[in-house]
Amino acid sequence: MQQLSESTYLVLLALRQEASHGYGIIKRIEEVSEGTFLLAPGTLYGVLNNLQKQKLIETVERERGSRNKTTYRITAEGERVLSTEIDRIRRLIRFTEKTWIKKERQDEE
Amino acid sequence: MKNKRSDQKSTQKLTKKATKKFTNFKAEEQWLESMFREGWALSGYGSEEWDDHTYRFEAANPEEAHSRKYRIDYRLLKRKEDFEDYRSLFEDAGWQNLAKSARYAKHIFWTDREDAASDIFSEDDSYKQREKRKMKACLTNVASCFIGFLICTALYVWFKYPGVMYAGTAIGLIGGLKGLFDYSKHRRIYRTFP
Repeated sequence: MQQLSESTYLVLLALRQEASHGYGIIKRIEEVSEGTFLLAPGTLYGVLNNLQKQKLIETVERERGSRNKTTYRITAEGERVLSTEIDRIRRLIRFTEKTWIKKERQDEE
Repeated sequence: MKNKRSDQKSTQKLTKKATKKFTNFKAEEQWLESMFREGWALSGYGSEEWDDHTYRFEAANPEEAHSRKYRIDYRLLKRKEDFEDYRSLFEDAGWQNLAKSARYAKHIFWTDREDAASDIFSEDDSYKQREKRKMKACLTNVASCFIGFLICTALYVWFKYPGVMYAGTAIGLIGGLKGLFDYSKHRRIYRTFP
């Protein structure tokens, strides 16, 4: 399994929280991160396309004749990939903090 | 009274047409922005697959912004619903799409909004993928030129009509070479990305 790009990771996280249409995903990520993560529409469209191809997300069936925007939701496989990625990031952070603290202690001595 | 006069003026807007060749999206975006600074706002463009790049401009209103951002995406959207979805996503994010139909693979967006994201892409990889999609389209054109050339050759062999042969060779050479040239130019940019 290839490592997820930052945008892909953020989109999966947002969809794990709640199914949403494209711009809703951008807005949610922007709000929750308080403006730290800003996804541009062209990048998001590509990410959604790739995730759909890999079957990590799917579109929610539209009501017939409705002109609503397409809504996306995460699939079971998507949740699995996401939790694997979260574990990887946690391990990375644990390791980072351990070595960082060690270095700081060494510097103090 | 004054208002009326300005209304009349805006109904007879000056227009301008231009044909220009680009093999670099960034250069094309910058040219469109420089046209706007000179007072010409892009109002339409050709699909570019087979013809030269054609652009239509309208004189910009003096009340409008002094600068405008233009960005180009290259993406073939096969279904009308996909095009509508794609367009509304960009519009929600503050970018207006200029193409009127899903037949265009080249999408020119513009924005005057200060709060719109500074670009339509937020990841380097997106620029790379844009080049990749364009390169693929160039190769498809080369392949169809070659098939066209083969059909014309077959017609010549069967019907001994030389006109068909000349037309086929012309299509094959000109179209195919153009496709290969564009391909190599975009590939050069593609390879600048990690």
